[in-house]
Amino acid sequence: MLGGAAIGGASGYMGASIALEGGFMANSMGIMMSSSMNSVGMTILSEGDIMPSISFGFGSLNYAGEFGYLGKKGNSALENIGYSFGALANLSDAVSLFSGGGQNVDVNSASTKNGHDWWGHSSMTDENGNTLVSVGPDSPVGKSTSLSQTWKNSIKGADVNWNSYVGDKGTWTIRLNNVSTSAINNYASGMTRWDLLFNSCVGHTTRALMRAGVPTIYAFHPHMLNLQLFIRQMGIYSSPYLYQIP
Amino acid sequence: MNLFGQVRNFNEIPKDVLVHLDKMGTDSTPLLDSCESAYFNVIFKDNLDGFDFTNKKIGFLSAGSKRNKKEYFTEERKRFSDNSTTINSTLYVFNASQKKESGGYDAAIVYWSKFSIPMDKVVTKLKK
Repeated sequence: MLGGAAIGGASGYMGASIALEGGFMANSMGIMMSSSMNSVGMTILSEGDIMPSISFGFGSLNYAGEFGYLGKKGNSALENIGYSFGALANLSDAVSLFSGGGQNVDVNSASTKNGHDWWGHSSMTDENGNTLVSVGPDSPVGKSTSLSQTWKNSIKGADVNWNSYVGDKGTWTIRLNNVSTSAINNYASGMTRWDLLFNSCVGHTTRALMRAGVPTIYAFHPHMLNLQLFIRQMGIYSSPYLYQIP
Repeated sequence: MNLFGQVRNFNEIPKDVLVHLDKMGTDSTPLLDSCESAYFNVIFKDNLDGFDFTNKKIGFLSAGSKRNKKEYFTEERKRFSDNSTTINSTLYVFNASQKKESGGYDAAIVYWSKFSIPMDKVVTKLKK
């Protein structure tokens, strides 16, 4: 058991290092490295009971030439979950490959504690802290006793230079690997409107990510977006192991 | 009096005012020095409505929390060096009773606020 944990830890470290380095198909390469290292190690440890294999993300190939993939008949739930997260890694890699500008990006959710506004703020920055997406209203929204009036008041021009809160105390940052900044910049160049629903800070961040091949469910609050991205990252890092669990 | 409308482009700030940006916000006291008051007189020039920042005590609020001019100018300098815009801010000028209740502030600058904050809440937050 200790040997398995050591193999898993070492292969996970190698895979994460490759993904964090960025570059050509970084997420998928990380999965391939992790899965092959882990399975070879486990094959040795199990004295051949476990078949060596390599995952490509959405699918895998073992040394007997069997191809496993997402949705294949007979897959366990864990296999499908592993392949699903692997497919998410493939998707952002593919968009980076075709749209260009693949870089590690940070998705930031501003603090909502210690007296800060509960609605927070969502932004996206590059590795150097430069803003990719950070949108607020061009003038403050007047609250009204009626929800519909507050909604009408909220329709504003977009201030695309809003504070990103990156590096600020309490800001929750999730790093995503090899995401197309060209696709993000392309989206950001068309941001002109701000409102409380789909064109809020988190609405714009969500759509920019979607454009870059990082799909999420629009959930209105920046923390909810970061929670989804946290689960996505954990899933991608786990995908080289999940499909191998018998 | 709540006044929105400000200069957002650093290029619109006269050079003789902008050149002192490095000297602004060196302490966190609410009383503005001559460079800081000259700067804010330019930033809010279209909405001052007779108000003058010279020798005024100014409170700062951002994202619902009390801040100070040191934090404000540290961020403003970074935005200037990043070729970004000035901080998105709203000026609240207090009357005599609001000044007394807030703890002696002549006005407040509320920045990065997505919602318009009622004057009484601004006064209460500064008082804390």
